[in-house]
Amino acid sequence: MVADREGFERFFRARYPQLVRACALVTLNVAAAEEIAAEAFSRLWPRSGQMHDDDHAGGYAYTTAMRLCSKRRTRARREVLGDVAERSTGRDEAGTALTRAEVFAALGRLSLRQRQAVTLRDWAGFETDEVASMLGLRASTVRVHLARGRASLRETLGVKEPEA
Amino acid sequence: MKTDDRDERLGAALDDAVTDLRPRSPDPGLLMRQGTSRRLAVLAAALFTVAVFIGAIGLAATQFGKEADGSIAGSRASRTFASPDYRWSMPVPDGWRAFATRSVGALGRWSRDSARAW
Repeated sequence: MVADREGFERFFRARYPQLVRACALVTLNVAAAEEIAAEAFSRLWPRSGQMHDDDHAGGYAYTTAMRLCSKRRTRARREVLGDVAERSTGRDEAGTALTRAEVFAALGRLSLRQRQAVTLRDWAGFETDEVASMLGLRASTVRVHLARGRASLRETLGVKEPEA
Repeated sequence: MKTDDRDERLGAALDDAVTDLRPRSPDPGLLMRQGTSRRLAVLAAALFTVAVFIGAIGLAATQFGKEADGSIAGSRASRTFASPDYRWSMPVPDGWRAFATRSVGALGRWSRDSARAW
């Protein structure tokens, strides 16, 4: 449980990197993702007594982080080009750097909502209803964002659609 | 595939981009202190807003009460105009102005002042 300090620290160490990665896929900026994830956890702590279990706390952290991502979208959009360009110059490890640059560039063509929907559903594995709840949208709206976001990503990254 | 189904391939492609990400981990104790401080600040701001709202309503009620005291019904007349000839009198709240439209009328004459009485 996250209600006590020890439990919160354990929960933080286990979930913080994943939340940063999710925020990075949404904001397309690693530094901003770190700030947002840290702030989401700092907002979780005063409410930790209300959390039923770790999954509930994780959902709260994701919801808060997605809201913070929405607030910072304008700033993040300006920073994304610099971030991708830096990765493309080979400062990161060879191979993965290009992949990240490619994926970030493809994600950059999506709207914020589409990035959030695809990240939460396809990368993090939340159910569509859970994604809708986190984003404050209806499930049908999330499906529309998912369909459009996936179509764009598949085309840009050359990923084939799974068989029915 | 249905829209509700998870696209594993796309998920894997996204994971390739961030799987090697090793974020700087802040001190959880610091985050907890920040969270507590922020919560207290939000609560203080909410209390301040409520206090200002209640204060504004109280002030408005006080002002309204003062204005109501100035009405005829709620006033204590401090001046009285009377006619010694016809035995009538008229209490007038303090601060009101009474004007005689005619110095001599059917009902009598102002006992005090002439054209303009305070």
